[in-house]
Amino acid sequence: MTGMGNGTIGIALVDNDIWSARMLSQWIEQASVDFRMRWCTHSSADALHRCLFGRNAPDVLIVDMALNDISGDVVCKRIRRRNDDIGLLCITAYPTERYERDAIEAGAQGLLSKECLVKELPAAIVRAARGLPMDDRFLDAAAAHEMMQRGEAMRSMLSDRERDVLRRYMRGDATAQIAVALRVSPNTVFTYIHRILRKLHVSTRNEAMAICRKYDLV
Amino acid sequence: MQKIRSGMTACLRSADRGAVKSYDDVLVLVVRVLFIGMLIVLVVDECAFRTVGSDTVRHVVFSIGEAAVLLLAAWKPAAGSWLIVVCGQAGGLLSFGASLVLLFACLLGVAVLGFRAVAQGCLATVICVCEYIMVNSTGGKPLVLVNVALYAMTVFVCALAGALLCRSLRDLTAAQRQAVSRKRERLALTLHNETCNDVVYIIRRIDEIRGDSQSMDDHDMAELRSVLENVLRQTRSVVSIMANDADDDTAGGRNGVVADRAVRGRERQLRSIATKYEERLRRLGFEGETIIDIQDGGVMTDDDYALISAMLSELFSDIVKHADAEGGYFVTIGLTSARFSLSACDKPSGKDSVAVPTRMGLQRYADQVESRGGTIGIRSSQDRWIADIDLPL
Repeated sequence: MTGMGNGTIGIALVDNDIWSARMLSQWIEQASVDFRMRWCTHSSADALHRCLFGRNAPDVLIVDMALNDISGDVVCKRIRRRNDDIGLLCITAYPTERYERDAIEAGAQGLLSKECLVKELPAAIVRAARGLPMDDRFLDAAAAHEMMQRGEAMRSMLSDRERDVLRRYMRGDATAQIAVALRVSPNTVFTYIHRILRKLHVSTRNEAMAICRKYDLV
Repeated sequence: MQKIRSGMTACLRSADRGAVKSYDDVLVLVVRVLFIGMLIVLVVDECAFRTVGSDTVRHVVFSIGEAAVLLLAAWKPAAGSWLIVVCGQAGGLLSFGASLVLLFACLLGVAVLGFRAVAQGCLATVICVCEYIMVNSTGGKPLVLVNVALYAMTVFVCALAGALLCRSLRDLTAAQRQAVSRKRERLALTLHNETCNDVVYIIRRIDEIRGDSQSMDDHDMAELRSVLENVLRQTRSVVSIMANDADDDTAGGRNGVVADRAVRGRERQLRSIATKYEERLRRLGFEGETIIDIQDGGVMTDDDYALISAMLSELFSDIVKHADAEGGYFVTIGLTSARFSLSACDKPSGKDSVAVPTRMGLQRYADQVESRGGTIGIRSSQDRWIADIDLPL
């Protein structure tokens, strides 16, 4: 996993605050002789493109959970769906409990508070570079990728309309609201839900929504 | 496309010039009619009503001179007006008495000169007043200053009226030019945002199919047909606007992105724009993804929505036109109640044979975004094109 061949670890960083990202980059480079910053960006699209299409994919990507356009866990999910090589570490200025579930479901190998980076980040980087989680709350990169692949298979079972209905339920819409928005009757919405439950092999709407969150189906 | 664009520009320019010229033409016509009217009055007066004294020959010559000057003024208003101003009091000097027709012609001439330039109007006023003083002070007559002042004021008011009319027409013309310019801009936007982008997609799609030596299946044909139908609809709308001189907003209704006032409707519209272009990109063999993260609804005004949907369409069109299909792309869209964020990244194709880059791209929206307190950043290198847009709502 230490892709630079000589034991060094290539690291990349995506953070909406570019100055904070640059300072963190400098600190990471000084934290260990094995750490090499490959790039840092504030654009999530740029980060995704570099990781999944560029020739300069890092061994470890550090992702701030609060980005400008989409959240950090969404970036992690997209990468993990297609890739099991890159170690993903999430960082946040908020209490980690707030994002813990999101980071785990996104296939990240760790979530660190920005206050504790000096103490915890170097070790987490070394483990993430080998695809290992920072502790047993998180999955390793290969297992997380496999989980995402399963999610992808489930995702392909659902139609666009079914995903739309699920998305609206997850947003907190009532059945009547969804029926009005989709210009169908409430009974039709229930029909969609029954189909979804059958396809996902669950018995309640809440279970279906939990699976959606876990595998990012919508 | 270039021919259509240059043809349209020429057409709009000529319309612009025509609108500006028509006021001058009407005014010249009015002045000519007035001078000819005065000429008729003069002829009728001389033939029917005036009793001619002993100096018949001189008087006839003088009257013919007056008529000639009025005729010249009707033909060439500017030169004629100067002549009338200079000769206005000749009757008085030649002891025929000031001709009333020539006096009115003189006032009209001063107005015409004031219209041409304020300085000319003022100079004509001074000449008229000097002549008046000369005529009324010959033969030891006492000069009545009040009469001089009244005459001077009357002439000056005519000069001023001409100058004010000129200014009003100039303002009116400027407003008209601005309206034509706005309309031209809207038409250009419509053609670029919708028609050109659709046509570029069709060309690229055909190139892809030919490049892969595939034959078009029914689904491809149906899709291309629907895009062409859309192009036809847009073209007809533009032609209709150009022909009917309608001043409605061309950008709003035709692009299939009708502003929906319901917030959720707008979310749906944004998603549908993204879905439409994602489908096109997929058909062109692009690998990539659009990620939309809409939180707590996001409240948009009509203007915000129009700007966002236009930028989104433009962004996807830029990817279709300029990106390398195999290089991948990512577009991320975030919408909260406070802000709209858009980020995109792709690999430039390096060959822009289909669409030559113009200033009509995303950068065109920079002023609008910045005026709303947002930012728009575009960075480009050989292997990466990145756009970041941030718009407070």
